[in-house]
Amino acid sequence: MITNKLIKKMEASRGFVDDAIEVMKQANSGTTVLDVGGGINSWCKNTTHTIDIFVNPGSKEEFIQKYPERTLFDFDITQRDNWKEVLDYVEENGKFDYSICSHVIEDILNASLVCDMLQKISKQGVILVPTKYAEHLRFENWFGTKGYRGYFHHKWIYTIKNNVLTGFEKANYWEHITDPRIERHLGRDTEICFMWEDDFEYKFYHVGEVVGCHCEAKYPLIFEIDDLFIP
Amino acid sequence: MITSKYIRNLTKPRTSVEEYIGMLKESKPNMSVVDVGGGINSWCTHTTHVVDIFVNPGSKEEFVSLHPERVMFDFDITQRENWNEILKYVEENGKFDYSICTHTLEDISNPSLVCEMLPKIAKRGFISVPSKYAEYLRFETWYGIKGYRGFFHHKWVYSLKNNVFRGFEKASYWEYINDSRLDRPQGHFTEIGFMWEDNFEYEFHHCGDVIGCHTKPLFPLIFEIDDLPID
Repeated sequence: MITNKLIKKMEASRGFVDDAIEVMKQANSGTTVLDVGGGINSWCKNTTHTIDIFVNPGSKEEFIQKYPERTLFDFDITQRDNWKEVLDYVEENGKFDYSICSHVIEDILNASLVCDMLQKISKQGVILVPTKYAEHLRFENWFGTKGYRGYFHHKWIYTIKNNVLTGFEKANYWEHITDPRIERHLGRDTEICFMWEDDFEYKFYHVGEVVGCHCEAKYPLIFEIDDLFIP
Repeated sequence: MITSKYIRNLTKPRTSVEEYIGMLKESKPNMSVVDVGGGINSWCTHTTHVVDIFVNPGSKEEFVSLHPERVMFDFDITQRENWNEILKYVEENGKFDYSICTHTLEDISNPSLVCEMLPKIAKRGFISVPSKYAEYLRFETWYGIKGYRGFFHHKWVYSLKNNVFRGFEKASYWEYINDSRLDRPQGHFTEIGFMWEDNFEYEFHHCGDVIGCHTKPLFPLIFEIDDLPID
């Protein structure tokens, strides 16, 4: 279940996550903290394990040199079979005490696989994704290409409604729909952050469902006021 | 290597492919033809095997009832591990004589995996995808959403240049770049198709490379005159 949720500026401190882990460590000094997709730059000082592949920045060698105390599972999280390595680890050692998955599931198309796996490998955790407000605004500019909404490489727009993490596949249709309820300049560079224990509910709508290809269009759901709104 | 290539209206029958396979069958009547992503509606009358999962339309039961003579490999082609089933089949039975992969590679997140697998399971084949001209024009309307370029669910823009099959990840940036070389009304509903033998060269550029995120942008390559221009 989702135990805690908020919208915050991305650049604002996530110290409250470390604080929560520190409390856990008072009872269990060997608390294991897994960062899924954390790469070389896991921001959590309590991270003990990381799952990622290295593309950029950093390399596996740099990771080992910088964090000799951290264990690396070096695999592509989009491939179901790759998770066997960490599932086997969990079977032998028990679930991780805590997991972090920060600004990862908006970048991959089969985000539901990661949501499924997080609950299988950790007892509780925190997930962070950009808000739908951030994905609605037009602010980026790469080499003269500008005008599009949100972050150019993101594949999902997220909300939390009735404690269900809901992802809507982002595609070019997104440039051509609008609603004043999410046109919020305060939403720039904001993220959804939620903590969960035991499990959490999630739902993903692929682009055909979002635009209403031979079905009822789901995109109006993106515009609804949800659990975390910017007034 | 790529042995022939064309650009044509995608709604017209692919008679030349049927005829080519028919010609091959004159010397080998029982040749095997695998349709990767063909689903229940493989358009090729020579298809003997199909690789796909059933979402819509059709079901596995309907497939079996409609095409009892066809062999089905029922798996998700985006997952590397799943290909082991057909690789094992090929190890035991030899490569398929011919493969078809039609309007599939633009729909999935990791088409390079399929391009890698096709020459491993087939001696030769045919691939078709929408042309970059079709992906540039604005023509679709779903549930009142319109104005976006190309087909709402496509994840790649393709071209063929110097006999290299090239995919550029499609994302929101695509709505905001323009070039008169692609703005060709006669490109509406066109596809590129090519036949290959033994293998073919391919390259895929993810949207960070295309837009120029911390690198030189590759999107100007999409606008170049390639092997299959529309005048």
